[in-house]
Amino acid sequence: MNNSSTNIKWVESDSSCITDEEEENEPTFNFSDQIKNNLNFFDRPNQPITNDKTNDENLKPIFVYDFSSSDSDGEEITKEETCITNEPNNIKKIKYQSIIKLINEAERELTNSSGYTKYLDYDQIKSKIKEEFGTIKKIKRRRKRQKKQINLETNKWSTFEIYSSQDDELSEYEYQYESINKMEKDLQSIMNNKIKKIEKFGGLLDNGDQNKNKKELLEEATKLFNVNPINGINYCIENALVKNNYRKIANFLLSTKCFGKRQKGELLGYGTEFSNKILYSYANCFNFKDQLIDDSLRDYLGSFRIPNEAQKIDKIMEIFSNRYHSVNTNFFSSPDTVYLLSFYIIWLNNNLHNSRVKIKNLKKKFFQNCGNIDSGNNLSEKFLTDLYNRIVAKEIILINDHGESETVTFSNPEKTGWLVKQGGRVKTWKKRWFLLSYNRIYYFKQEKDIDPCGIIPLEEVEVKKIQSKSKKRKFAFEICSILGEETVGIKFESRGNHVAGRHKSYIISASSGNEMDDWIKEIKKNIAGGQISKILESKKENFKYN
Amino acid sequence: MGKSISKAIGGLFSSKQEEARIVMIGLDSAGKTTVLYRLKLGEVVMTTPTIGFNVESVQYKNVNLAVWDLGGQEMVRPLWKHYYKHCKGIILVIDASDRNEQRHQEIRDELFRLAGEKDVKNAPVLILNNKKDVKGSMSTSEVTEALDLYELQNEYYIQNTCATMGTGLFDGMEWLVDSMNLK
Repeated sequence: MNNSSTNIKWVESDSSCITDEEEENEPTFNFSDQIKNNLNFFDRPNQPITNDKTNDENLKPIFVYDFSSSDSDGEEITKEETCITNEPNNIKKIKYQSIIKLINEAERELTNSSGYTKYLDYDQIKSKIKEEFGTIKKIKRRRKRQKKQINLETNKWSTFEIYSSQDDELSEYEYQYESINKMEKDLQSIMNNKIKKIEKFGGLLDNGDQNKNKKELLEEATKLFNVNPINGINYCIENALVKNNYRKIANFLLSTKCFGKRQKGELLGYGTEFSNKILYSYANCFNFKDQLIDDSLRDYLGSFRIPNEAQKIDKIMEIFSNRYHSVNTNFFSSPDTVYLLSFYIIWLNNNLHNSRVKIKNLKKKFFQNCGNIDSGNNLSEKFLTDLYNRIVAKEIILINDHGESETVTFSNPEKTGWLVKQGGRVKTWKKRWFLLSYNRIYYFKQEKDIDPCGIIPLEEVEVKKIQSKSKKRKFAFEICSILGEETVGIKFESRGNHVAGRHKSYIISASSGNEMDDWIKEIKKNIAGGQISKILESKKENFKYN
Repeated sequence: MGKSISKAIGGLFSSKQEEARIVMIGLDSAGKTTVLYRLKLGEVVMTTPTIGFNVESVQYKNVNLAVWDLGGQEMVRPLWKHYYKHCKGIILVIDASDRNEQRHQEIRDELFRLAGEKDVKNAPVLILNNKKDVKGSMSTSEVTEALDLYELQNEYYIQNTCATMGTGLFDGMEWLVDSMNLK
């Protein structure tokens, strides 16, 4: 925290103005102490209040609570009131605005440092202060009825003054002191709570909030991560899911299954210093010792989706090769060799297994490329042939566990499995990989496909068993719209466009009775609570009234 | 059976389309990926599911362009020469806001090395003067100067673009497709 100036001003009637400006170096809120120090004359309630700077014995202290100097109405009132008091022998002005300013500043400071504002509400503090001043005002009214009342607008922060007459001067002070003190305490407790929350947000406190357990935090983090990995990882650090340490983050990335692999790759290949350091630690999490280079690559690239950009691949391979060479020093002469070889392996993999690429004489080219990369020495032909054959036989792919898919919606699906679906227009049965997640059913042609070939939103639908004529599709169930219309569905065409499905109802068949029951149960659980009909109804009602 | 029929039908329809291979070069952070994805505008961005390098087939008019994103360290350069074969056009993406002489030298070497290849001798070069929105960025004449383009044998065209906004990209593509002399 930089200078949070505590502008608690003590305005003397002799127009000598003492401004208290102190520097606070820690984000602890000791404004209460400061105010107490400044109010220390209240500590002697049994003695007549004296101020060294004023010579007059018969002092009439007046407190001015100035909430907003910009409020012109308030200022007018002040002038008016000052006139009425006629002889303000000792006017003590406490600028409460400064307290609020202080609080606001402190809050801003804290929010800036953590970047989160959602737990802060200024209204709470303000209402608290308002409440307290309300009480002062009431007392004021009761006691000083003879004087003109403070025109404190309840909805507005305005300037007002509290007067004291000679007779009940002390009790008034005492009351005010207590009141102010109480307010300070309350404010401080509010602030402390806030600080705790903010600190928890900033990952400074290890113990998480009891209301939000780790699992919930992780779910939230997953959602964030799968939209923007940098935000996600920051959230994890802030919520103490992982320590702010590259090695820990790398381990965390490796072990957290619910994070999307594409996003992991995005984060690792981001290119900033932060991500490069994570990438470095990430590569060090693998033990490639005595492993073949392609097996190591399979492990490494199976754990996250490597970006397709050449420059990013370059970086990721460079770090891989350093790691690989550091544990297997005698395999290749230098990390550069490993780097080139792994780069070529990826190139080979791309050419062999990507349908868009057509390159002839691939084997020859691969051999040519790898010819003398080992610092001038030839890599043994047998090694290269074996390597080539292994890549041909088995593509380097992303290791995709069941239920862990690449997009946001596919993480933690409720249910997955192979089912047979009847076509919409052409009534043929097709085997599809079904995935149920977040009130939607996705179906894919292949289990490891990234993009679904269709989506069925589970809104306004019902699911029921149906009697199928064919014996082969005995365990069939139907998903149909309860509104008596066509079931809404989205179908993806091969070019990536999505179009409305042509299904009147989806007829899906499972291979066994149990499986069917399971699916029906899960789907029923996931049918969304009729949002569309709610909207429709409300619109209808509006329509009626209009 | 059904598969073969659909294949045959698909073949019928796609016969009108022409296929052309294009390579895209440029230094890192020049905006190649952005250009690539901008060209695919209107379609769901789908990166190759294969582990490997960016290859996008971009449909422009009735030409099917296979765009390759080449890059990486000096060491891996030999690898890219396989892509130059049968390459019909070159897209060079440069960062207009980068006035670093050394970088210009690098990209110039790259371009002339590529243009010197036997297979790409007649390929038109589309130069995308990217990040034109940045203040103080290079003008087309400055680019010509910086890259010694008057020495280039190939037909070339400089197009100012801002890939993030998508401005100028399609004008450039228009030129490229027109000049590729497709059969």
